[in-house]
Amino acid sequence: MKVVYCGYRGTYGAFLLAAFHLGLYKEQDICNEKQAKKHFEICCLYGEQYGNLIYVGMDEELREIYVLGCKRYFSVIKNSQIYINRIFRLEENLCHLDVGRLEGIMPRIIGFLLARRVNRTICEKLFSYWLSRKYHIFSRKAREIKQNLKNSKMFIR
Amino acid sequence: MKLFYHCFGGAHTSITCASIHLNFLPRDRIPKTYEFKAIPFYDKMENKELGKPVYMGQDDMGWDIYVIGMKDGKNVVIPAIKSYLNANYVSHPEALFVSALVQLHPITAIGGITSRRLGLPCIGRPMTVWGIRRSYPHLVDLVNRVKQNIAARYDYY
Repeated sequence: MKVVYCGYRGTYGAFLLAAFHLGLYKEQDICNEKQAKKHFEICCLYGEQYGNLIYVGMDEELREIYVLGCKRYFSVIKNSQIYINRIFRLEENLCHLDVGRLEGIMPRIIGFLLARRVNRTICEKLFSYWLSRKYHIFSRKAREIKQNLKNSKMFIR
Repeated sequence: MKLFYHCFGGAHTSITCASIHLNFLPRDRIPKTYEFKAIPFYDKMENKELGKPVYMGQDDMGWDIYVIGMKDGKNVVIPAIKSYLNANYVSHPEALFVSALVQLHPITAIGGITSRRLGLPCIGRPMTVWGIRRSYPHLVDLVNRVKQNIAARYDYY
């Protein structure tokens, strides 16, 4: 089974949720500066890769976890991947999760500024602020998603 | 092998190209209005179904011909499909994407919006047919080039 976390850019909310899902980020921890720096580096490197499935890891129930930046085309991409799955008879369970609403507008602003090479320090500060605000919301959401996946409520074949 | 004609809504130009490819429409003359209306799926794609590939038939070379609507997000949706295939170990040459948005007549675009988005097919559909009849030679030319390329690349005939 493949779980694809989708956002406008794949490395902000989508990656954060994937990291919680895989246990790379711990729920009990508070978001520290080092962690924020590392995550920000990922955003700088891969933030502009729209449409490219990025493999993050495999969870304890052997689900493959991916992140995907899909701009405003979440529903189009979701439909296309589900039906491509059937057309090519890939026999793969797929679950798409849109984190666009959850992550809010801030990642889009940060990504926009980074793409236009606006001062990196400002972007990093904004990113740290966003991460600290969203950290616990995303950790709760990841737990909820894992529970739903366990109950097999969310996937489409 | 699968060939996907894609356009904005997957309802007009891509359907016309696929129909020319499959010989549902003639290549040596511009079809009459009733011939367009007789094509399966012409002006039928719903907004919520964007991204869903629609099977049109199999051509004389054995390729499966599909039609898909991608809004204006082909730069995101096509990589998303290809990276998904890649993640499932399907090689890219098995799926070929051809943009049918060549020489799109503005009246076709306006007719498409009127019919599909505003829900007024009685006004929009004749406009799309009128526009497509104007750009029909370009679409025939596109399909001919696609068929020639496929034949040359894959050594058919």
